[in-house]
Amino acid sequence: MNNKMHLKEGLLINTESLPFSVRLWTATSVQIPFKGPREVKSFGTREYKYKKYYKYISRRG
Amino acid sequence: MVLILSEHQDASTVEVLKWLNHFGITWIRINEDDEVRFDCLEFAGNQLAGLVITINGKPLNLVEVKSYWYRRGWLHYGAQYISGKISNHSLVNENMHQYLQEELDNVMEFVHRYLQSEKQCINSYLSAKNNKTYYHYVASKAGFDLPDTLIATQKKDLERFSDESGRGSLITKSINEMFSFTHDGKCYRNLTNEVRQSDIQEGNKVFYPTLFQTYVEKFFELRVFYILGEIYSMAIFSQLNAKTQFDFRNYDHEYSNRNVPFILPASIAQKVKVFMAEIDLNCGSLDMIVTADGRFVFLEVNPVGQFGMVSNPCNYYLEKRIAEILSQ
Amino acid sequence: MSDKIVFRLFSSCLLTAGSTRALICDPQRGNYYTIPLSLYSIIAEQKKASIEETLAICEDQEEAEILKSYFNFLLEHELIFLCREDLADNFTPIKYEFDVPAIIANAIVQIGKKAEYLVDTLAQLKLLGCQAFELVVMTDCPLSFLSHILELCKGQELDEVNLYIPFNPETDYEALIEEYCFLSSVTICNAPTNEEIFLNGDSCTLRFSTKDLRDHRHCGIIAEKYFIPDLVHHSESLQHNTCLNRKIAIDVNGNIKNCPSLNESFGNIKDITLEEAICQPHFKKYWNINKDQIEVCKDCEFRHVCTDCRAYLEDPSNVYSKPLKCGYDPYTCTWEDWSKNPLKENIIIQYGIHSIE
Repeated sequence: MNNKMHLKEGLLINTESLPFSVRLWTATSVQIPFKGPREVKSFGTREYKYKKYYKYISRRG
Repeated sequence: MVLILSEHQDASTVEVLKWLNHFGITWIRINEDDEVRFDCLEFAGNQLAGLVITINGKPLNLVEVKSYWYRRGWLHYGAQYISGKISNHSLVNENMHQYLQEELDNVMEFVHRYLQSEKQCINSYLSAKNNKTYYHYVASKAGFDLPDTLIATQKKDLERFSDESGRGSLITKSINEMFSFTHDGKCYRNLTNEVRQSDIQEGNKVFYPTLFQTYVEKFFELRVFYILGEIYSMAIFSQLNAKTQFDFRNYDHEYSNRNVPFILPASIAQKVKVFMAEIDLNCGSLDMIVTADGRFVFLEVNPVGQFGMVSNPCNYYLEKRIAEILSQ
Repeated sequence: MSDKIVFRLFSSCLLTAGSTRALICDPQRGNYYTIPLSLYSIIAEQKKASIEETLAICEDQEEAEILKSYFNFLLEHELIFLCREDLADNFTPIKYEFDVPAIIANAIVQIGKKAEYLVDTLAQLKLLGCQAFELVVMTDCPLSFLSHILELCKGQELDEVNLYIPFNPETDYEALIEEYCFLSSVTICNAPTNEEIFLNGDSCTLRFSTKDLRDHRHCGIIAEKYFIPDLVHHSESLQHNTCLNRKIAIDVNGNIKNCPSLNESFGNIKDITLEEAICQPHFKKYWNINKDQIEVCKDCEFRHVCTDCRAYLEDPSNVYSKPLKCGYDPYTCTWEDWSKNPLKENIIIQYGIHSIE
């Protein structure tokens, strides 16, 4: 859910020293991403982002 | 061997690396948080004989690098040799630190220049600064249609710009990159927003430099991925959906945009090539708007933009293409 | 410049014509819709026509009204869009190229008591670029053994790891999945209940089944729940076999196969490398059997959202036969229970499928 930034709510900001558009900035709730011990160094990265495989390897039922 | 400078979170880099592995090409990836140190540079017999840096303590002779991809990030070499105070006098300390930094910056800039001029390369660190205002200027010279743009500090200039007949509504966005921060469980972002008359009336008389642009009514948006003269475009239909009318990063997960492959008209493709040559970028992502009356309006270029979002929906296999270019 | 407004199918929507009706698959929104062949031909032709022009060709008012309702449906679901005629050709079709950076893209590995070949097998699969695999524990599976296996899998940059293990009342599966968050799915076989739980921010499915799904004879099901409205899958389907292309299986005895349900072995992991097995002349024989070559499937509107099976066939003597475990008839557009079809009874016995559960 988007809503506009309400500067009066807690944030004391001197609007004169900020861009005109500061009142129009978007405020969204921070979504906490799922985090886990996905440490892989092989691709030279600490966070290998697993890509979803596009199909079913088997279909058992 | 292929050298890649990237950021550790970048998923596109991993996809390219999978292709390089598949092609049997060896690579080295440096992320922004790897510790890089300058080790040695040597000219002998009127030639560059060696240029060695270390990455997390492991030496890499850049002369042996065959191709180079600047994806994102930077060489993190700041802390080299400068540990603690040099002198008890703060002024001496400050000056010495500055001197040492400049010495190192000079040789590290050469590292970037060497890689971009001597290797088969995609993009470069030195050309990838997003000089949006300058790019806007170059785009005007390349013959692109552009939205009327104002960067102002005073309400009276904004009012005049806004009152000009036939301009319609205005938008505002960052002069430079998008900016965001979190505070008290909320994420604040300056996305592209509409500026209404009431916003102008209620706004301050004087303000920090702010960018305003005429709102271009779009039929659809274009994301154009340019790489070494090749152009891969995607049309983004975000207009179908009121929520994404001003900025498609206001992504609507319930009813997603339509992303489909698109071929640029030859005249527009030519302008893209002229523009990219002029700003000295051999790879980047351009944003454009196509209006209902068929005008192609240039918005901006992002030297290090996401291309997975173009590659996947259009089946362009850009990650494979990049790996092929690096393998040549 | 012309001001004519023509309609265009979003090229992200994939069309497949069957013999009785057609399918519009919409991968970007994860949907698909069956449509009549008459509508299929109107949108497949990509004639630069306006909706009004197309309606004008109708023979009578009734036909025009039907066509109008079709157009409303297409617009409402944003399957077509309206576009200036002079831009219409710039909306180029998607090229259905298929490739993945892997010699072997997915694997099924059965393991026995000691998991003795697992380390070596994983190392070999990695060299082949394998992106996804299924690990099937064929023996009892105490927690210590499970942890041992999962430790071996940890740190492999596989996009997908699916695990099949027998039920063990002492194991806390949810805690296990939280710890080994690279897991995409864990299926607990011979469990007391049938249940499905989504964990790790929905990135892992924990499934309990009363059946022993480790038994390969359970595989090869063709059903709507296994349809994949996906562009990569569609592209693969146009040229390749959607189950067996770039697949490898290592059974509990170390035999290297195309799939655990296919009998042919290409050697044993003890004796040869996976790469040597793949290089054998017949290893890839199924890889290019696509749905356009398979009996009945080639007339089915679902053929490119569906997955194939070459292990259980209606006619085991014909390599191009329809999958046995498909109950769909594309000529009448009806589903029936394949296992209750009297014509399939003998084949089911022949494959030994009747004796499982």
